[in-house]
Amino acid sequence: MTKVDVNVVQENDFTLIKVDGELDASSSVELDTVLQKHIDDGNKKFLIDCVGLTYISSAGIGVFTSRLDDVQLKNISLVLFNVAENIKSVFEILGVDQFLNLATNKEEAIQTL
Amino acid sequence: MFTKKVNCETTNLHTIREFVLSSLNEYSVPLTQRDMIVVAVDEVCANRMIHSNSCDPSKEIEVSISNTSENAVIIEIKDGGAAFDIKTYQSPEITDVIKQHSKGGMGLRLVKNIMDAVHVVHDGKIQVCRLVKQL
Repeated sequence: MTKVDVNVVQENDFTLIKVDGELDASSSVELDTVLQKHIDDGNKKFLIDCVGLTYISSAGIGVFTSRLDDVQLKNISLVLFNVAENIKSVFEILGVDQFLNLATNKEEAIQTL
Repeated sequence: MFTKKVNCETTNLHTIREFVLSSLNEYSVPLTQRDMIVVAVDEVCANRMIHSNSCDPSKEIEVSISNTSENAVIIEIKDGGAAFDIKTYQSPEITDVIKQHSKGGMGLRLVKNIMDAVHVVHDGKIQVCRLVKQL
């Protein structure tokens, strides 16, 4: 069974969401629910730590791309970092890498907020 | 040839991916190609489970993997769900998916971009989606 763990920590002025496991058509709803809750709470700065993310399908990518318009409209920052090469490849094949805010590591991600 | 059958619940996608990974390892498929083929199979299976079989656990989906003497890998995904021709389906542009705040619509674009050929044939009530990747 597909498993994903989504852990949220509030750090300084940003919300850090750590995703471990696989984001597919079965599991991506968990991240979707957590992310939406914190957007609804009025949080404006999000760092998504993908160091433990081993797989992503289009359903997982949809969690991010479905919010890109809202992110711009509501002046929200959403940065993904520690993204594995196999996951970057999926972003690139779809062409969504040019729309997502990707950083190499946490320090770089904080600087882009 | 390697074959795996699961019921049409998306929680079984992980099992399918593990099966595809181990089968492609048996055929010594290079790592980068292997990982992308896994994505393509996952997308087709998710599509078939959700849209053609309504995630009905009483229905099954079968994945078969074989190789050819021409150094290609062939994956067949068979199920008895509603017919849907992936090959002729026009995926929306990514910019439109973003504008519409859609969470879906990108999977079959991935499949077509990853695989060299996609064919859909029917064997009675069974739909067979055949994916080909030249190594």
